[in-house]
Amino acid sequence: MLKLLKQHWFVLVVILFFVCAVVYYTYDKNKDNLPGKSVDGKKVVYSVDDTNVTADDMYTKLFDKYGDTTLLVDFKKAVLDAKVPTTDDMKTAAQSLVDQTVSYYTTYYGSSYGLDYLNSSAVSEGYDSFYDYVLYNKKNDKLNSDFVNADLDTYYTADFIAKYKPHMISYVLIKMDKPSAPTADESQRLADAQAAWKNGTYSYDNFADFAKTYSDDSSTASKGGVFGYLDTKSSASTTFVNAALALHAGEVSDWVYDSNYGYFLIACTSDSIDDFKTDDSFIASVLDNNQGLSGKIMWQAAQDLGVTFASDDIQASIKKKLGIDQPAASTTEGSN
Amino acid sequence: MRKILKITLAVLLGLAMLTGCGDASATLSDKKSALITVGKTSVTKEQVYDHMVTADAAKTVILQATASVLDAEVETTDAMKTAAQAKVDSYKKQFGDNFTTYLQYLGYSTEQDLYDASLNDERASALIDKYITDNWDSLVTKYTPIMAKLMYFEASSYSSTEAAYQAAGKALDEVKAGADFATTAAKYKSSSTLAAEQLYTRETESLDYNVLQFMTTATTPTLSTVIANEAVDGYYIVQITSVNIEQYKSNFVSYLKGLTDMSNTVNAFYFTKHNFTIYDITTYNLVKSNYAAYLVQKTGPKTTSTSSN
Repeated sequence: MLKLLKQHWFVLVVILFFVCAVVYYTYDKNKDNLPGKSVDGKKVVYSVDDTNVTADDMYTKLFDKYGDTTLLVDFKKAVLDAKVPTTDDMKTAAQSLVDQTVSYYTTYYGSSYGLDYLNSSAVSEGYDSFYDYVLYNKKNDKLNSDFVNADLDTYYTADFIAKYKPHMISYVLIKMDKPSAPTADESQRLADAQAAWKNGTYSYDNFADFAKTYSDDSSTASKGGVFGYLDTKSSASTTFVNAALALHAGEVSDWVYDSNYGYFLIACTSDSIDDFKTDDSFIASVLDNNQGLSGKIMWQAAQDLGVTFASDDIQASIKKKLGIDQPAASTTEGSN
Repeated sequence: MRKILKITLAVLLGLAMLTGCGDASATLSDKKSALITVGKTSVTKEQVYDHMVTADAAKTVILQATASVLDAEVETTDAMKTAAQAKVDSYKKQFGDNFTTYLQYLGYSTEQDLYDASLNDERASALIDKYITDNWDSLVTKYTPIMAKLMYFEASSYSSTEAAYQAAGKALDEVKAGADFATTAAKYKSSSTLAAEQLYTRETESLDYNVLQFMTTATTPTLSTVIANEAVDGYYIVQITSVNIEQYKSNFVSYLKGLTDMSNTVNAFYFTKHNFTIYDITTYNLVKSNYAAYLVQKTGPKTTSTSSN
């Protein structure tokens, strides 16, 4: 052995060098890592004196407080992932809404309330990001829309029409900072628009051209004044909504004075269900008119897919959150 | 020789693999259990746990750990229970029919939750008292509290720096001759607030360095000479009225309890004493972000990461 060592002493020195180098490297890489701890095979989250609180203990504690809400979010996500394919249109719409929301929040609440804030809020609700939250809402809208449209006669009734007065509208706005005391320029722009409308150059048939030429509304002018679906549930100003909903398809209102915005000219482009049956605002009004329908649609989708629960308590929790009245009869339900 | 090389190579590889280990992550013992299965998709216990941890683990850990520390350090008295109940009752009276809504606004599910939180507040206050009592001597040494009255003669209020110095000298002579300190201060238009007896400590930020030096080295009630303001042209006269801490103990206790970082100091002290240690990197990072003062353990990452071992 000694002879062998003498013969290969240089190789052994090299080996020793590498061993030392790797040992040091290993120590250096791990010295700042957070150490773990296990008790009776269970991983510990934290300890105070001799009391160890395991992840299992934390789960129980957190579940008492957040279990129902968290389960519902994860249940909905599972249903929506299986039932509603994510389309490129949804992704585009979701990203657009994220951008708009970030812009709104930073404008009105300050730079601290940008995307990071929205992401943080969404993550605390059980979503990966704010975009993820918005995308799931888009998928939920699609689920609701498909359900309502599959049985439209049940939801689009004479009572609904009388209560919500659904309309598709376009409008032109001559915007004024202080409508009660318009500036000379604002008065002139109003006079020009009114004259153009009155002299017959424009009418209902080329209302879009009129809007593109005269409207000051940044969100609709470039689209030919198209606003889309409007009903009594709208959050637009009462003056505007009342004037719009008094119209029939093909009609244009008189100039409507609104003390906050200026003067509107409103056209009703349709009151036919075919033109708004998939509109999110229409679906929202249907859900508004049928309390609990949203939960029922989600539950029905889960049933169609086949759903099982680990316990009656979990099933009861989901049903309660969805507003489903059925009593929890058994541990499993549906097929899997 | 070949055998030695093989063994060496195996050892090196083993050690090298250890370098891949990261921060610890505390996972559930049955993390893969499905709570809900929809079609082919399962919602696992781990998934739900991870969401709940992100939502609130830091707060829950700190509240629970605080409760453990309080259990070990503070006896819950009837007076504390009465005070906690009084707080609940006052909310009920104030909000009437809206009490339940207000509870939710505050983040409590039930009236009992509010009572428990109020009782913990009482116990936390008692813990601060205990900390002050247990660390009295070191706190007195650290803050060097004394009671004193001051007069200040700012040069800008006089025709010159010299005039301010002269005025301070005259005022000092009058006080030495027996004139009332406050009356003399008023005569020379020095602040009546400064002229009133107050508690000063080594940490009193408004005090000039030279004044602070005089105060912290005084061992008996003393009248100073004219002290030049180090930062601005002006002069002080300081009358130390007491250096016997027993005579103004309550003032000093109130001062300590009013310090903005006292709560953090106390928490750090007792969390260290009771060896509060986190063994999960996600919780560690969340506590670091939201309750940094409670993070007293010596072991832990210098930078945050989310890998698991």
